[in-house]
Amino acid sequence: MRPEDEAAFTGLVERQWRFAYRVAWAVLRNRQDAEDAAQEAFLKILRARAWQGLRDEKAFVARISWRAAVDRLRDSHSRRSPLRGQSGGEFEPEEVADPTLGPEEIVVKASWEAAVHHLIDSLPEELRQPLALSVEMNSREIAAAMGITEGTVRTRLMRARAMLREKIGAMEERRYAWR
Amino acid sequence: MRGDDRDERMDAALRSYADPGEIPETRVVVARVMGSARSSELQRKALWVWGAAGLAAMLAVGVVWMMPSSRVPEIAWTPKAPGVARVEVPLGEPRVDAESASVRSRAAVGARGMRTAAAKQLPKLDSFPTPRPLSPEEEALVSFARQAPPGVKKAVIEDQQHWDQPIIVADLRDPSLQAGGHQDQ
Repeated sequence: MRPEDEAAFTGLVERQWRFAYRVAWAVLRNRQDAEDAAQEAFLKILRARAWQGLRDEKAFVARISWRAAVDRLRDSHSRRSPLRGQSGGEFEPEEVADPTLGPEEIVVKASWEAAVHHLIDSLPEELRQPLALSVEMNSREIAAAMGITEGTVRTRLMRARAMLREKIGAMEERRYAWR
Repeated sequence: MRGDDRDERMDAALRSYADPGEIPETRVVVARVMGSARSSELQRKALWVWGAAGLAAMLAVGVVWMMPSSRVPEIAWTPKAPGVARVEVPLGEPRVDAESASVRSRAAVGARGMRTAAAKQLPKLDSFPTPRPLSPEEEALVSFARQAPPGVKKAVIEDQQHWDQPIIVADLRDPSLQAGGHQDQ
């Protein structure tokens, strides 16, 4: 590999690594697997020498990273239980630490968010993935990454949010009824 | 709980859901990716080398196989004598009366085998019918054709064209015989 190519590729990784990792994380919800998937995506880009002359670099990286993560998710489904939700349900105060909140509020918020994470995990995969990616990308970028139309992405996002809202409402009703 | 508040909390939960937390450093990732690329490149080169070596070995084996000296030696052709070769046909010991018929039949089979073998051994000639030496009459005719004067040859040829016509022989008139006859009478 020529030094100028190596420099160009290093620049691409520096610009897009965090984004590629977050895309992989949104699909896999596991740090090690997300890291491996994102690295695999960049390795594919390097082998194909595809980083030169990209029209939309971010969308391209999102597509490759999402594809690598989905392949890894499929392999992990065939090997063992799903990767997602491994940390869900546990109280992890460091993830929701907010200095403005009191101890009781931290516990309540953490448990509520953990419950919502479980609910997101329980969504169908075709709805969960665009919903998780929507934090990082807009509808056009999600469509490019997933290989579907932008209208389909919007429809799925609406359905995902509606289903999640419904699940949260049902969960809170059960909580109030229990109290 | 109001709907707007619930949506805000839901969005906050969604943000925390999509937040991976600490992200590995870019430098480490670049080093890992480049190392993987180099190792896979080396593996690919090694694969090419082994593949080329295998191909060369197969080609060498093919070349050796195709060389004429490596083939099974052909049976040398030896021209056979034009005569009839003797073929030994085992007939076995001749049996006595009770089995004389089978002995005869076996002998006939053996003779037939000899004839067939002899026919197979006869040389094949290029001309038909087979040339043979001239008979004495043919030799006399040839010498006559070479030595006789042209007038005589022409007369002989013309005479040959009328060979199917009846031969007319004039009456014999011998005065001495006729005279002798008269004397006896």
